[in-house]
Amino acid sequence: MTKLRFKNSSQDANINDSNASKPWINNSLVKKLSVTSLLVIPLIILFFISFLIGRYPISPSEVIMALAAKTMLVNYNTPPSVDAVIFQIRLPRIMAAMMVGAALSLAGASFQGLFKNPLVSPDKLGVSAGAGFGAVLAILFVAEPFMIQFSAFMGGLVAVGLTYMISRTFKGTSMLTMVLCGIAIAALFSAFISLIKYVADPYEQLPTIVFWLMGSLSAVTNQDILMVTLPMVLGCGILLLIRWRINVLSMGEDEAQTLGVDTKKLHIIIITCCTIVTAAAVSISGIIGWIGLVIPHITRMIVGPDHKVLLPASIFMGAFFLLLIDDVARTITTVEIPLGILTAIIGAPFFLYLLAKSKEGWS
Amino acid sequence: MSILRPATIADRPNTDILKNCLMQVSDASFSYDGQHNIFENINFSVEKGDVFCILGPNGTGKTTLIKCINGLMKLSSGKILFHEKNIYSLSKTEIAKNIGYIPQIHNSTFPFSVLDVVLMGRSPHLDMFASPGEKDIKIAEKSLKTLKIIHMRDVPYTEISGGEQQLVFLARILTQKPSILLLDEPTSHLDFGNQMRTLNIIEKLAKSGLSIVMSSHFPDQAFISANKVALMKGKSFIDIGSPEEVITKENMEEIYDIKVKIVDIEYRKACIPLKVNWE
Repeated sequence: MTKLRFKNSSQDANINDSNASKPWINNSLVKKLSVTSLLVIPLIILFFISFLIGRYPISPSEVIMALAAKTMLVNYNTPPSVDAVIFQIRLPRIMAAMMVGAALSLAGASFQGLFKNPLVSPDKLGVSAGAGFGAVLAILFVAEPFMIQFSAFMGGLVAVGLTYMISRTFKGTSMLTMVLCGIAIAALFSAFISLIKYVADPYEQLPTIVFWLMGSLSAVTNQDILMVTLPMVLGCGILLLIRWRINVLSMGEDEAQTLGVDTKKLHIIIITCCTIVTAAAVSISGIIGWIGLVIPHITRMIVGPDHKVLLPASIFMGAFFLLLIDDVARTITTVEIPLGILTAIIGAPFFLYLLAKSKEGWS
Repeated sequence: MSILRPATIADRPNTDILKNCLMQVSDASFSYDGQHNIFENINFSVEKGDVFCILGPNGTGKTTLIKCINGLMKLSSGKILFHEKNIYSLSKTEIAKNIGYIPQIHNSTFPFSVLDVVLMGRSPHLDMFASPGEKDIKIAEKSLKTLKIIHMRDVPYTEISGGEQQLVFLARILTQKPSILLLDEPTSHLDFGNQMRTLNIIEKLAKSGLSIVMSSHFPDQAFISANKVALMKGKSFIDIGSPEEVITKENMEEIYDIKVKIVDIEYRKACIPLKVNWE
């Protein structure tokens, strides 16, 4: 064969040499382990620190003993007040922050692959607006925590279902058409939300509505966590199973099809899983923006674009970041700051930074 | 000007077609709206080791024809038989195991490593829930070695030149292990040297037993690598046969509407465009 020469052949030859002495498998294994520990260890540390944060002072040893006692490792009588603070207040909140963060960033990473666009967030098809409408409707008529959560979850599913069905009726449905339909549906549901705000009782309902829409984990209970565990685990599990196929899908629909991927089926699976996971997250936390957009991005910078690694890594990164932000939200001032505000304050400038940087990479 | 020869597969002896015939396209036509055909009455067959080159001006439907062959679009009428089976009766996975495709334009989004891109060729051979393992990586590395780009294994494919990208996609198609390669203008974004290198590779792949169907804008490329050429003009093939038979002065002037000269350059013929007369 003709000898192929390229402009950076000398540089490539060096890469070749260094790899020749060390088998790639060992290299990648070391890299894999170090990346995994980079993602997991900070999360574990933060998980313990988060128990110490709050108005009721608990010492680290107390936390460790209480957790150990709960998991039957040691025999220790946790004082009832400490037990209540740790297991009734802080644990559900920590779990919720980690689960919501993980779910939103996993869904975001999947959607970015699906839509071949690194600037897409999981609520692009209207799930957040729909969930918001569901929640607000329940606040107006029932005002019972369980119903608000359930109605939010269903609202999210309905909105995305509508987006999908409407976009199907157009000839030659592309991913762009679907996103545009999602924007329209989201706008519609936002209008309904405003309408309900307008008619809601300004002393009782309106503050609840506004607070819910800004996103918060302050009222999360253990029962809420149990409620969303099943849909979240199911949705995340399926997304993790098909994660390598998202690589192929992100090369474009035509190319993916000629590589043997049933793109229609895969689209439906990804959209369904992301919607379930996001709706479940939003139903306990309210609307928390930016996590699903920014975290997959940061994760991609660390582990690269391969969805096989990116998706599991996004879970840890998302869990870490939302837990960190929630810790900040409940400690920075005496009054709690709604999470949606904090994530936007951090996320929006970061998004702009990415946009500015994007000139080199994607167009 | 008139159509010079009827374009049918009947030009070739029949026994030849049946013996090694991999794919047969008969009476193919395609239309988006059911009224205006993009192409019609297309007939050809592909045998093992063939390099079949489709020449024709812009907008005659070469790309659409190629997309019909790999099942991305469906013919309005006519048949595509692959190993005597109708191609539309096969699943996407089965088609992908047998027919590899490189599109004319690729829009990259994520900076996957070259190896990751080449590994995607394994997807028709893997389960829905599976991801490539050691064995698949070995196959991908072998393709990279075949195309002499193994040194680029871990480089992001978005940061290499167009010529190198084309080699990466060729490596991916080899990893897919199909029997037919569909290449839609495989040299369209490449410089002079890389065009020749790509054609060289195509020739070698055909010698190793693969069949290649490609579209091109350069009659010379057919002389260089093809053993069978079809000329597409209007809506169908106006001629089909060996490059020497088909790429004639009359035919070229008919389909491109310019003056050309066919010359003999020792080991092959060449088609040289002459000055266009603007009147």
